Amino acid sequence: MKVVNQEIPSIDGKSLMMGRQAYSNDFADTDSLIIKVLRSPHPFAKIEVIDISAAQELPGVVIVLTYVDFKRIPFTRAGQGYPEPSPHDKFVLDEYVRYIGDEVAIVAAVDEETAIRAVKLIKVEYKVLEPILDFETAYNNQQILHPEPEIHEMFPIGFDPKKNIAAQYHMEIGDVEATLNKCDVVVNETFYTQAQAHAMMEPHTCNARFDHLNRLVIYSSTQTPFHIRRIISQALEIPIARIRVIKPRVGGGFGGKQAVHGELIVASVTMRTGKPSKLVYTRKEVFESTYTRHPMRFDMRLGAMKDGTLKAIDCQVLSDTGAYGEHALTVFMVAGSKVLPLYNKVDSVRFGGKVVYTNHTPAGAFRGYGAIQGNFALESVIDVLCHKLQMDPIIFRQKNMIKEGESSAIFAIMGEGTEGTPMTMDTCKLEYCVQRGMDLIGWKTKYPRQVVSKDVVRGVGMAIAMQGSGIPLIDMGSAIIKLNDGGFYNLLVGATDIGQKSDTVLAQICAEELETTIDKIIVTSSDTDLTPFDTGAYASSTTYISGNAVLNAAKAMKSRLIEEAAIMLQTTIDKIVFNGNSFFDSQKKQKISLEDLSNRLYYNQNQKQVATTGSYVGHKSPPPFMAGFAEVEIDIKTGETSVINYVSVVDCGTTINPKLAQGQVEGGIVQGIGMALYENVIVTKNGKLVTNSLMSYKIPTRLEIKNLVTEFAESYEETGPFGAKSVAEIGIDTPPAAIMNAIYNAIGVRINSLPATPEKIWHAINERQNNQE
Amino acid sequence: MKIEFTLNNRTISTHILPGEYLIETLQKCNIHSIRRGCDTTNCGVCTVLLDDKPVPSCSVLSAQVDHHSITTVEGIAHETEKLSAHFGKEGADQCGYCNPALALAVFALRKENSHPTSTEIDEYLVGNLCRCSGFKNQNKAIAAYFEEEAYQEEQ
Amino acid sequence: MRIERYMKASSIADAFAILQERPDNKIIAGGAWLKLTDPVINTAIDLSLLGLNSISEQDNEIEIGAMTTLYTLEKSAIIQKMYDGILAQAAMKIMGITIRNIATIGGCIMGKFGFSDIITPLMAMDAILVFHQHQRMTLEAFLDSKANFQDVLIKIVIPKTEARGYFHKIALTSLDFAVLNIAVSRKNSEYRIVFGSRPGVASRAFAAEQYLKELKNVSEDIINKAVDMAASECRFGTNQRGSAEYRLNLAKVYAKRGIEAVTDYEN
Ligand SMILES: Cc1cc2nc3c(=O)[nH]c(=O)nc-3n(C[C@H](O)[C@H](O)[C@H](O)COP(=O)(O)OP(=O)(O)OC[C@H]3O[C@@H](n4cnc5c(N)ncnc54)[C@H](O)[C@@H]3O)c2cc1C
Repeated sequence: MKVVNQEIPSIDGKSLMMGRQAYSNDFADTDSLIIKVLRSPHPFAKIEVIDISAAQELPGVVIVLTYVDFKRIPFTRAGQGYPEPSPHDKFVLDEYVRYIGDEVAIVAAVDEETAIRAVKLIKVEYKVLEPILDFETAYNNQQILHPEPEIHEMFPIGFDPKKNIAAQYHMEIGDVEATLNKCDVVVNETFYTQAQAHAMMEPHTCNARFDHLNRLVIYSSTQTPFHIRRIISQALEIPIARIRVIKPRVGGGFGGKQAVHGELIVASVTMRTGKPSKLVYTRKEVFESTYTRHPMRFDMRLGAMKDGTLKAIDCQVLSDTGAYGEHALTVFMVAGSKVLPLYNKVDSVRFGGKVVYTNHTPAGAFRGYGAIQGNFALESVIDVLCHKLQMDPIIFRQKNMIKEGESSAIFAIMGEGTEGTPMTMDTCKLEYCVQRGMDLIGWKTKYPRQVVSKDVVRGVGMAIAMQGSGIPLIDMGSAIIKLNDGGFYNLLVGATDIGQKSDTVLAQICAEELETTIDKIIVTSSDTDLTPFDTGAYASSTTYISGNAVLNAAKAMKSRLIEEAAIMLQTTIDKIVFNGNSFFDSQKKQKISLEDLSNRLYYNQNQKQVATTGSYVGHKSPPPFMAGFAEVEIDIKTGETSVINYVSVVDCGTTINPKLAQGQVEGGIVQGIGMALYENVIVTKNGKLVTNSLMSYKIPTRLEIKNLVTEFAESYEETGPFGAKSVAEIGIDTPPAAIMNAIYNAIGVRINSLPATPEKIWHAINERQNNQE
Repeated sequence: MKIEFTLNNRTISTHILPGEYLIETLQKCNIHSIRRGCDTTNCGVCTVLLDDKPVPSCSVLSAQVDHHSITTVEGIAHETEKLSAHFGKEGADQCGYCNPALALAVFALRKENSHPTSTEIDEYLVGNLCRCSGFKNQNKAIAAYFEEEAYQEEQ
Repeated sequence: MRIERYMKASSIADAFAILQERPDNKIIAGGAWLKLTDPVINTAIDLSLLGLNSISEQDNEIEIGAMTTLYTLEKSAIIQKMYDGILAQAAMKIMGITIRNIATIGGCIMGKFGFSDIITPLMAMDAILVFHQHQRMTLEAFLDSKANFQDVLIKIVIPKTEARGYFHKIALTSLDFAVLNIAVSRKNSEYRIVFGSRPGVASRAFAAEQYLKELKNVSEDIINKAVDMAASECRFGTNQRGSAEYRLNLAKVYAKRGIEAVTDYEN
């Protein structure tokens, strides 16, 4: 392969570093109205009186909108395919507010200062209601967070708002209780994960205006332009043909920009005023009023025989979706479906639980999407079991984990809202990943611990993980390739580059198939008017799904070109050989270059536009796999802990661009380390998020990240473009469990609730000492 | 009030509000490379060079830069291009939002220390947050840039 | 920030006069902290033309201009040397280079920030503040003063001496405020033990200092006793970054490490 699997520089990195106009806010009209949103100071309240007159009268204020200005159309902001597996439980503005930061009113003014002043002039009388802030008390609580009659599920997801349930699910293979009864060893542990924040560097940003055709044009920092267009049309009853959504460069998303956030607000303001408008979220709004990761509780039980054969897994989950049910069901499902198949040889496995409403900032999509939560619980409890069995956790995993050619019954049963899709693991290099990772970290000499000094101890720990590559039979991508005079191509994709550099990867796939170089492929992504449909950048789908679509379009282009060359050379297609630059007729010994062909097609002879379309929908979702190894260093007197080494060995099939794939893995690893050790989420007893800025919410900096070693296994997935699977999410899954396992191996204490802050570790050390005494 | 300052070797005379921040003034001068990230001086995305020293343009008042000089990547395109080539080689660029600011900090470091160790690089750049890259590819690219520039200078 | 008027003071007396005019007239140093508090200011007084941004070595004292930035501090050969460089180390641990290029030592002191990493080592170095009106005043006296100080801090003075020093900041990440910081210094038999970010503003462990002073040799037992005295003398509280209990533990662990470091004690 000449282009694929090559370390090619990204196509847009240079101009981004040079500061070119590129991100949504760079394209806002200079005379845009500035929008500010009045947000709820209460976790749960009913708006009894809202007086906007003083705000409206302030010079410079153009419009003030409250819930009375909106028709009650329930919808979901989730930004998923249609019909969504998330309940339609949200109104653009509602008379109820359900978390601190929920939208109360919208102000648009000629400048920012006026808009801010006007927001302060709105007088609201609230009837403050008793909130539910502890998600473990939400189910069947007498306080019902969503009593409104219009809300509904789109198809059965276990939605039961009278019991504060956004979604629920249960499945059992075999008989877990019976199997556990027969096991030599049974372990039982509970785990908690926190409401991690995406903390992408670009805050959510969008702007709107009317174009010369009186159509609404929105630039947005979104992961899902096509879903945004649909949701705006449905929620605001604007004909979909009148809406155009453009996604320019996006400054990071990680799932946080999958949903619709400000787009409905700018659309409402511009529709009603006729004026361009823009909304840039403050960082506080990003923290308080977009999405978080779903916090979860896991009650895990494992049963095994003395020889280390794992027999049963019981995984019961309680998930907190916050005020609205976006991604409630699917994130929770993935906590089972992309975790439990790792141990596919068990006799029985049970998974189930509830996703409850609370009065917290809503949870939504976030890289890892349930798998990181589930992985933390399962891979931690596996080590607990190994300890009880007195077995090296690697030997245990080698014996029990899924291997190439095998399957798991779970794949067929558990999907994302629908049934699953049966799959065998045609590529699964987990055995290699584990073996190689062991060597790279130096497991044999370092396991379980090394004493550095009187107060300092090091330990190693590991975890294995899997993810998916798109959602089978749902996620679809498409591509259009257009030949231009001069012999270069446009590649138009709906796939959404949000910084993961998918434009580059898709151009590589296209160039490889067309046997050309990447500079001949001009990529446009994404614009709902110009680029073909794509579900968007989520579920680790772009390389696999959209990549296959590009490959299909490129294959079609190649045959079309050969047809046209055959006509030009007055021969038949079977005689033509194409090398990317020229077409040769071996018999007649004649040739025509691509450039000449394209020029003749457009200017001189047999004129026509050559363009092809390719689309793809996955029939399976081949999981990438990885083994992650952490080496931690702990000060036993203070609990201060750092990860001094993290080794990742990843099977993602062919790496279309090895350096960019490495960046995906390492970016995920660092976010995972953040979730494991640093990203503490603090909420007051009144439901106010304390950690609502980058000053109080600490993401790892370059000084926290000591040494990362990342390697890829040789692997070729037949169904993927040039053998590729996905690599976007897999990196984030292992750090929580691997690090907690390493801490345990170092000092004998186990942290079951994230993050493992130094103080928590110190308390655990004390507790252990007290118990020993 | 009126101020005069040098922006990328151009003299700018402009009226500002006394409480106006440099980031706002620069955006009015059509500088796209300077962006907001956090509102609390924690992310580094709005970094500019003030008399060759990296500072957060969200926290420096425009009044403070009267008669001083401001540099953004728009003013040192050639140098930025060289650094970006290393980022490209190492796959260190992802969403790119933090990259112009990071580049300026790198150039400032080079002025102070043309042979930094990897710890010195980390310490100098720690205030430039990045949520995408995992940092290591960035650091490799930056180290390669320093190496190449040192080599060029010796020639 | 809302500012009515911005003026560059032509002299310290000029700055002081304007400062006295109205309570909402304010000195802008780096402006980094002011930005976060978003105050309404009538006249913002800029001291940048007054040459207060350098460090100089006098016969008996080191003088640090109030407008000296944290980055200048950390890079100064003089500061890197005195008390084993604890002030330079403390400056280095504050945020990133961009903030350190604007934040000034004067701003760090005048804010009386509980979290301050600068006040802690300065206290261990017996720093003296020089104001326009109040003249010379110890750092501790300034911190104890309840009055709203409408005065111009001109410089910080540190007596020149041969002394050992230890500084440590415990924080969740490199860009966070301290859970606790500590400075320990020793001039012959004269000790200073200072805890900052308790989360209250830095305070000294006088009794422990006195106890150590009276002893000829240090031993493990003596250090342990001094540590216990120091920890019980200073108060530790709870905030989002840590509990009182955890801070107390950190204080003990690091006071011990600090005393060991400044006495070259190894066990
Ligand atoms: C995001 C962030 C994180 C930080 N983290 C830390 C940390 O971890 N540890 C730490 O120690 N510090 C930290 N700081 C504080 C920083 O080090 C400075 O202390 C702070 O910015 C004040 O310095 P400044 O020069 O910017 O002062 P300004 O913001 O300009 O002024 C602060 C106050 O001091 C007054 N003032 C300033 N100079 C004088 C003078 N000469 N005479 C009289 N009054 C004066 C001002 O009027 C104002 O009231 C942080 C700051 C920020 C913005």
